[in-house]
Order: sequence, then C-alpha cells, then structure tokens
Amino acid sequence: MPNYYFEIENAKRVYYSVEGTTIPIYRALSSLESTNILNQILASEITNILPVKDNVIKVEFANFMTITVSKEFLKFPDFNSQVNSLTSKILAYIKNLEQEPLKQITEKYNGYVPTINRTKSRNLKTMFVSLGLAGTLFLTGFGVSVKNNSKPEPSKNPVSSSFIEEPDLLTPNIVIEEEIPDNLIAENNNPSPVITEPINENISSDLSYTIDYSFNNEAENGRLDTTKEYFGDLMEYYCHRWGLPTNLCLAQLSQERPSITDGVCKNPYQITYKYFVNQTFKVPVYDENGFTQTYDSFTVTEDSLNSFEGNIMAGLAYLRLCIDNTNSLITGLYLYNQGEPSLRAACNYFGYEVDDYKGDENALAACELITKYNSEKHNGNYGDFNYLANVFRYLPTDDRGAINLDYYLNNQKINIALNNSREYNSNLMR
Amino acid sequence: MSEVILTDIDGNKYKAQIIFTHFDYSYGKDYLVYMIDNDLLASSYEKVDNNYIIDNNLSSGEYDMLDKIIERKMGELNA
Repeated sequence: MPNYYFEIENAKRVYYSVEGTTIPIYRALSSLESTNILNQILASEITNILPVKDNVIKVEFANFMTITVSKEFLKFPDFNSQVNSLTSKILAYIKNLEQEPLKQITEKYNGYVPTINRTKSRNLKTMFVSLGLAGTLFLTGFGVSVKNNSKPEPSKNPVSSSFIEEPDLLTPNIVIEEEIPDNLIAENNNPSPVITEPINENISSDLSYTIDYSFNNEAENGRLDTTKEYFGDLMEYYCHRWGLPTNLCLAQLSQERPSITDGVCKNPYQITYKYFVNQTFKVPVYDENGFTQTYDSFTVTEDSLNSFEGNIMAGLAYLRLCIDNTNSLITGLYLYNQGEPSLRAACNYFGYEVDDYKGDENALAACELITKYNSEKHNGNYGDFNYLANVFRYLPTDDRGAINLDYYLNNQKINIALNNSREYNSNLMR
Repeated sequence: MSEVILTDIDGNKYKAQIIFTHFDYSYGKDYLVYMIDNDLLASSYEKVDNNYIIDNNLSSGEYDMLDKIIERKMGELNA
C-alpha cells in the first residue's frame, strides 16, 4: 500500500515511502507526480483515520492509498485547490467523528445539556489506556477547534522541520530533493480560514513587553485623522470586540488605505479578493474580562469586501489570525503584510523551531527572520520590508515617542510599551 | 460512538465512550469527557510513553470549566 507524506508548506513536497526497505527511503515527488497523486486521493473516499502519534494521523482511502499528515497540515491549508480539497475532506471526516458522540448524547438526553457526574468521576481510580487501543477517539481535538499548546520536541532534521511534532514519523530518513516549480505553490499572502481558539475562561494577569523601534512620526499629518473620521467608529467597535489595539489598527489602516475621494475609499484594507472571497473566519470575541467563549463567524464575499464594514472585518480578522498564530502582536502585524505562513516557512527553510520565534519577546527576531527568508526567496522584492515602521509612523505617540498597545491573547491581556528609538535619541541630543 | 477500554490501577476494566478531548490553557492540562454506563464523566490525561494516564482528581473549577465546554459544544451542534 503506497503511503505518502505531506509537508505543510503549501504541499510543496510530497514524499513517497518506498516499500520493502529496512530503512524507509523517501523520495520527493515532482509537481506532476504530486498532482496525479492528489487527483487519485481526491477521487477516493476516506475509509479510516488512525492516530499514529500525537498530532499525526494516517488517513486511509478506499483505493488503498494512505497519507500521513500532521495537525499543522490541516490547520494551515493553502490555496492550491487540490490541497484545499484534501484538507477539507479530512476535516469533514474528523468533524463527523467528533460530532457523532455529541449527537448521540443529545438524543440520549432529549436535547438537555447534561453535566458531569462529579461524584462518580472522583470515585474512579487512576486509569490508563494504551495509545494503540485509544483508537480514533483521541482524534477528537485533532481538528481545528482545539489548540494544543504543548511545546514540540526539537526537530532533528531541518529539511522537513515543518512537520513539527513528529520528526521521527514525518521526517523522511533519506530524502532525494527535487525542486518543484514555484508556480505550483500558492502565494504566501493568503488567509487561512481558521483561527485558533482561545479556551480560557478567566483573564490572567497582564503581561508587558517593551519594544524599541525606529520610525518617523507622521501622526499629525492628517492621514490618521481622516482614517478616524471615516472608519473610527467601525474600527473602535471591531477592535474592542476582537481584542485588538484600536490605536495600532487605525495606524495600520492609515498605512493600508488608498486616498478617499468624494467619500469613496475602495478596498480600504487592500484585501486581495481572490484569496479572501468564500473564506470563513471564526474570530474569538473578547470583553473587558477576556475571552467570552463566543465567536463571530462570517464568510467573506465580494459584496462584503466592497463595503467599508465587510472590508474592515476581513482585514482585522486576518490580522487577528496572524497574531493568534504567532502569539505576537508585532509579528502578527508584520505577517499581515508578508503573508501569514511566512514565519513557519522561514523557520522551515532555515531549520529553526517555530516556537522559538513566537511571542512578543521574540517579535523582532521573528520579523528579521521573515525578512531574510522572503528577501532570499523573492530576490529582495516582496511585500514591504519596512511595514512595521510604515504603520508605526501613524501612531499618536507621546512627546517622548512612546505609546502603549494593549491587546488580548488567549487568556491574557498584553501590553506592548512601544518606544520610538529615533524620537528618544533625538530627545537625548537636545 | 467510539469506545475504549480503560483499565484502573486495580485491573478493573471499564468500557468508555469518549465524547471529546479538550486542552485548557488555564490549567495547562488535557481533559477527556466520556461516558461509562450512561454517566457522563470527566478526567484529565497525559501521555506517558505509549499510554495515556487518566487522572480523576479534578477540582471543582475544572469540572465547571468542562461543563461549560459541553454546553458550548452542544450549542454549536444545534446551531
């Protein structure tokens, strides 16, 4: 039975394990071979999904093909239509697996929501079950709705570190590299339709970081005021609702939006329609107590992007996605411009662990790595490598060049004390 | 509904129907919600070698949290 291993980075590499060898040999398939294999897989129905190890599953198809994929592969589908169809197919199967027990409970309790029998739970002694016997049950949570926050083991092989969780299973022991033309790889600056889910109920204590960055101060040149005049109320509403800092988002929109003529501003958030239309966002809703356990879910349409509100919703939802996937406001902001998968792609490319670059404490290092990666991959011409400075210049900093950016991340309220080092240094000179 | 056999430290075996698993940031633990003999039960679990060790000593806060998750999941199912 042929088994194929999918790498998450836009399915750029598909490996085929050669049967009958003591040490598995994996061959990176050509783009044509990958396309043919995906066609065969998509033409067949899923017959079973088995957990191989944590966060890794083997999917069996009716035509006796199997594929091995990681959670990351499912979490970050790209916009290659074949890969999208494959991830959708797998997620639909898993969702059905997840919902089946809940449906049966609903029937059993006639629609009433049951509560846990705490007494009986506490009376049970410590139990165990072997991984092999756990069957498909522990697939629940494998889907996109639950974020596993555990730190992965260090990757042993930088060639396919994007497999992340299970290098021993998903990293080919021997790899014959074969370049796949870039035109088969989807653009990086696309949205993933899924936002990872904050699960905490109670807000924890604040975290605070200080970031020094050099940027011009153009908050007084009128552009920010015009942004506020046209979009202030909408931005205030959605930033507050989705746990984002209004001041930074207004600065970002000031950078993004085209000029407003006769009250008309086309595509204020500069959304690339082909990547966003028909995508569904599920955005966590926050209030002053933190995550409310509720979500705003919406599907982007061309009409919605043509409206101020729909355009802003899509832009902010994508920013929220970038932040949640990097645990960082600053890195998330940069990824809005450089493409949400860029940090993972950069770490994969250079052989680093993504987790080492997550968080606001690592934001500047992460942005530097992303710049280095996209610069190398695109001959120094990709997006706006000065994007942070170009956004920050519209922040209404105080006379010492400082401003607080407050936002929510999962269960925590985070404060970024951003200092304009250029302003600070010029103050010292006076 | 998927079933697994859970074995306690005395060797007693229970046929459990697992409803869902859940990772919670506040407690930093994985949880398992399941049914045994029509009772809805919950435990935390962790992976040790090739076994899942299932701990039944949860706090009231953890049960409250899981009850809310059940409510939310069933609400989503019926939405």
